[in-house]
Amino acid sequence: MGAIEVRGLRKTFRRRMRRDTIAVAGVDLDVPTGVVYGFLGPNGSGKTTTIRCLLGLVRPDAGECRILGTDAQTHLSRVVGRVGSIVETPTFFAGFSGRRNLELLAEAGGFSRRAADPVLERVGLASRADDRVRTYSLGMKQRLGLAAALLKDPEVLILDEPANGLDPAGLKEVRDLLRSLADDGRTVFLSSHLLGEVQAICDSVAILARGRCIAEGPVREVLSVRGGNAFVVRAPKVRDAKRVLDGAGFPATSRGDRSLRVMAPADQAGAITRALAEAGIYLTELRQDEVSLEAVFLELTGEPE
Amino acid sequence: MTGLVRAEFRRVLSRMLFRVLLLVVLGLTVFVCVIVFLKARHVAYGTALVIGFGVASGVLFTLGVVVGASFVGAEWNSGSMSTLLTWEPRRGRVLAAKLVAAVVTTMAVSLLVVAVVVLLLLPSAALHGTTSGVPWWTLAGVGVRIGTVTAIGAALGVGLASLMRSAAGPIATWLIFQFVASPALILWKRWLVRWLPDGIIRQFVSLEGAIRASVNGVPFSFGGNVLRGGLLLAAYALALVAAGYSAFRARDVT
Repeated sequence: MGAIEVRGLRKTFRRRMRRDTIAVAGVDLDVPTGVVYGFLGPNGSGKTTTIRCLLGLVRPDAGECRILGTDAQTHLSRVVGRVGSIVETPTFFAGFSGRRNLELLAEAGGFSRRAADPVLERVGLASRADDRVRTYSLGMKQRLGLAAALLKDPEVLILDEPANGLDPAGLKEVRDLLRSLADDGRTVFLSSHLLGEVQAICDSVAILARGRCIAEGPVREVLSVRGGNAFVVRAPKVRDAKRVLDGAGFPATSRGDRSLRVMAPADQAGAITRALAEAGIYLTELRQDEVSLEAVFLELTGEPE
Repeated sequence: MTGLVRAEFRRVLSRMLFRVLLLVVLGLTVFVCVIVFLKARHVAYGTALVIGFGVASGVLFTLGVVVGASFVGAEWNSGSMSTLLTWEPRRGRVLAAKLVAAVVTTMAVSLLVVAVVVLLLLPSAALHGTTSGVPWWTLAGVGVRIGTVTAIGAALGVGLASLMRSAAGPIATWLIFQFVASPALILWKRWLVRWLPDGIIRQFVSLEGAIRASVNGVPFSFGGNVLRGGLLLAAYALALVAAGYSAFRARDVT
């Protein structure tokens, strides 16, 4: 049993006098337990709608959502106590303090009001806990949202853009926090635009585009769609170098900055050097071309690089 | 469910609007009672009370609508409703808890206002007039019915806000209906007064009956009109709450 399973999820928002919006057009997801799972996609790709369907806020037209093996559409209340969540920018009563907001939520969910203090401490908000939420910065509201999600001591965390508005130090704290939660055996389902962050902490990812899941799996597997191992080669005569490498069985493409991207297994660096040297071309740079999640994301979603 | 209701009570009592309205209502009540004490001569205590209650019933009903609508509407405005639903996804329970908190709180406040009026007019009556008049149980009945009217107003506000998913919309709609549409309808067809909230409240609180009892010594009876008024008012509120619940349950929270 996975932490989250989604099968054939569809949702169309019907609007009067305007064209209907297909938000989710058949999404399948398998989120194993105990991992940090990145959920990526451009704006309007259906991420937030999928999350809202999982949390019972939006009723899907078709498909099935299961959290911890329980049907989220019919029996969400059975597992909601084991699921912490943030949906978009967390919203609280602006006139109440951070602590009061958390205490009210805890009480509403049948948890102890005393659970608020440790989580406020954990997200670094203890010193401002008694200030009104309306005085909080975006980053502090985000931390409060994270605190609310952690209040239930959940097995599954569903977080929609939890790093919005955080400064670099805050980003690192959240990254470490999410990683430590997964290391404790919890599942973190993380929707984010910060691809570097996702690559740094996620074990698996899914990429959504136009309401469909276009890639899913462990990060390494998803990165491999960019074409496997490659090297960046810089040499004085780029055109000659390309001809030599193509001839030696290492297909090369120009990167446009007087360097080449050469497809070759990681252990072939020596062979590339030798092939160029034998042709009288002495390279000035040779390094592995590290494929970033961002590049894969842009390639798969068709966004301009 | 108990925790949810408790949290809703805390929420309604912590709201700035509620506290401000409470202070304003109590302040106005005290002010009116002081004016009565200073100016009135030969006041029949019971008569003064039922007139005071009669004025209060309309005001408190409208305040009930405002408190109920703003209590639920504010959650939609701020977006905290979606946060709450990620804690308790059973929308029926969420709405029921809000309804209970709004109804009980407004009824309690209303009874408090009634108690303040009774206490503050007592010295006035003792010094300037008479404490005889309407029997105390008749007054108690009027007081409880005013509390009920306020609570029904709050339920109506909760229903309207659940339908419209905002605070300002339902309050504005109600005020326009109450102070523009309703008088216009009555001017158009006089008999409609029996079916519009103003007339129904007057019937339910039975101000005229109580005054007659006070002035002419006619025995006051809890007649069919009182029952009709209460049931009709409750039916209107129930219909709105049911419509609000149905919309709350069916519509997506985006």
